[in-house]
Amino acid sequence: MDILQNLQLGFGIILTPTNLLYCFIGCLVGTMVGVLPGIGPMAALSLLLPITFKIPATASIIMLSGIFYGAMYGGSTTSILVNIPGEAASVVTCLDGHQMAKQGRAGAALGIAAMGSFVAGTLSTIGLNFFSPILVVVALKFGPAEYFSMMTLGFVVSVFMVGGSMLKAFLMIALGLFTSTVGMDVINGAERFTFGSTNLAGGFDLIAVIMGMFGVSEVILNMEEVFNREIFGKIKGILPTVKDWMVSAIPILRGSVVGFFVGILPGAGPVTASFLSYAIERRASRHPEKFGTGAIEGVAGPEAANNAAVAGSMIPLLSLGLPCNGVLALMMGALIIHGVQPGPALMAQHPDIFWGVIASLYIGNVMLLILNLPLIGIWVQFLRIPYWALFPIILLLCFIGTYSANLNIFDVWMMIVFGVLGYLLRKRNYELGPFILALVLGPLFEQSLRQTLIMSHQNPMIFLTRPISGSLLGISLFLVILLIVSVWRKHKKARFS
Amino acid sequence: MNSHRIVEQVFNLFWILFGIGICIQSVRHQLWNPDGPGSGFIPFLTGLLTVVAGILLFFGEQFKASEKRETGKFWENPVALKRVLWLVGSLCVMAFLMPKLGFLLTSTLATILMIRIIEPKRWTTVVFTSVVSCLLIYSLFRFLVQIKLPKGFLGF
Repeated sequence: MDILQNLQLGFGIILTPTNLLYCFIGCLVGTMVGVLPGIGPMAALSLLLPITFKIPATASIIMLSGIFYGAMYGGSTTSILVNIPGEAASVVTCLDGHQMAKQGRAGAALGIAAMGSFVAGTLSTIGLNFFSPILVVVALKFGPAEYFSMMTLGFVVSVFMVGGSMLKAFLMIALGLFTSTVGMDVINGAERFTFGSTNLAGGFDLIAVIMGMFGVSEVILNMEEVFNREIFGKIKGILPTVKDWMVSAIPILRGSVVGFFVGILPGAGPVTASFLSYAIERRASRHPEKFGTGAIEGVAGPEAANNAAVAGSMIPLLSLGLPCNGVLALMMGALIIHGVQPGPALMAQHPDIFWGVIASLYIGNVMLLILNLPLIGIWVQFLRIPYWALFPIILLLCFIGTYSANLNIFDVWMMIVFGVLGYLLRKRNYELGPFILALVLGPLFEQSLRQTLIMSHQNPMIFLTRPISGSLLGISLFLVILLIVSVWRKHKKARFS
Repeated sequence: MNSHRIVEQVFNLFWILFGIGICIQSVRHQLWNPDGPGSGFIPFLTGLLTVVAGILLFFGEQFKASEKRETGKFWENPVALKRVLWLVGSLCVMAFLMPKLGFLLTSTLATILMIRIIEPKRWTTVVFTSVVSCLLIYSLFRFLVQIKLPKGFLGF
């Protein structure tokens, strides 16, 4: 009953002209950046972050959330029509979505992607509605030891979930953690690795690193081979047929559940959710051989999963104050700028923000369905912007986003350095997700570890003797053992074959 | 020098050396103090992990079966390398000139350069696209969003 009353409060907040406008702007910008390859939700959030300084906290977080899930909707359009993922979570949609477009079924693919996203987005918001208050109660028992163990689990999960080399992902976590330590020590204020530079005293600016690693590196990577995009312009039959629905209904539901729970895990997120959903659908299908040739389940499941993961990933942020990826870290930054600290106290101290955001997810999903189905033609026009005009604009936007955060040209230089680093790493198949996760969680990870050891008079057993912390570390250890065994088995199999 | 394997091993050696560098610097920041871990503790751990991962990757690549090794060149197309270098160069020039010439002038010049690098179009098309897109972006962020952008000697 409480939840329903609170939800009523949330709807009261979102259903005001100003908040509806910000929700719409967020959804619109999100869809746009999702459609355009090369600029993802993180870059868009960084660009719009300075605007949020001037608007109320609730409106700013509503707008930023809209960008996040709007990008998930928009990303599928590019994957289906051009075979280039608009953003990372839509990579897997290319496999079957583009094949469907080639067979003249682009409309059905776009339709089921939007409908699936809507259903998953709504279902996962209901989940967020009920899970968040429960987790808040658990979170009140969280001390530094529990936070440390939770983040350790997050790092292990992020290594576990990568598609490529786990060793490289492990290295990326170490590098991300190191990068987060540059600047002033959070405990005693000592300067580390600044080499006397005042610009580095506050550490690397997160926006500069994200813009460089994702925005600039993406453009450089795409610049290597500039090719013409073949766009399927004429889209017919955007509403899926009864047969399409019958085939897609279960994958959408499965994708919603998978996405929601994967989203909650620190270290995982929409990208992992979509890949996992595709693998599950392929395994569950009676005709797995059809996957990759235009199977509608291969579009419905992953698209549902990546949208469900957005609402899922909001749970650790709103309940624990833990941003599990770069996008959420920027949202957390926006809240902190407004003097709002996300975490267990958020629901009690700022119910307007907590429930306003949840209610905005329901409204945003409806807005996105309208934006993505009848207005699909407009987004197709966006795709016609040639690369030679698009790439410089993306770089200029990265430049503005980075500079405007601190009005410091040093950050722009850092963006370029991280852009080149990101490009080289991506070319050598290093995944950047674990790096960003470690960079975002690094300061809190270090603080939690050191605080716990100070509290326990340097007795590390405290991590194991506290029940929640011990359980989280136990799960981490189990995953590490599972990881080692799977690598060992793979090696053994390869040796015998 | 351009083959994937050599680049991979250069990367791995770099990780090992970089990790050692972090460890040496971390020791100077005090690893442990009477209260517990010092400022250098976490950086030291990350340095150590980098060295270990670098060594494992190095030997993993060294003893990888020949059929599993990645063949080909890091930059398959020589034009690709040229484009990348030009783009990074133009970004650096942009960052260098921005505080002196201001956002509008620098971004227009850099956009002209970047478009020419990506796809050589007619000069009129390049200049027109650059001027229009930079003016639009400048107006949007400067006046609508009210973001402060670098001003040059001309005042914009």
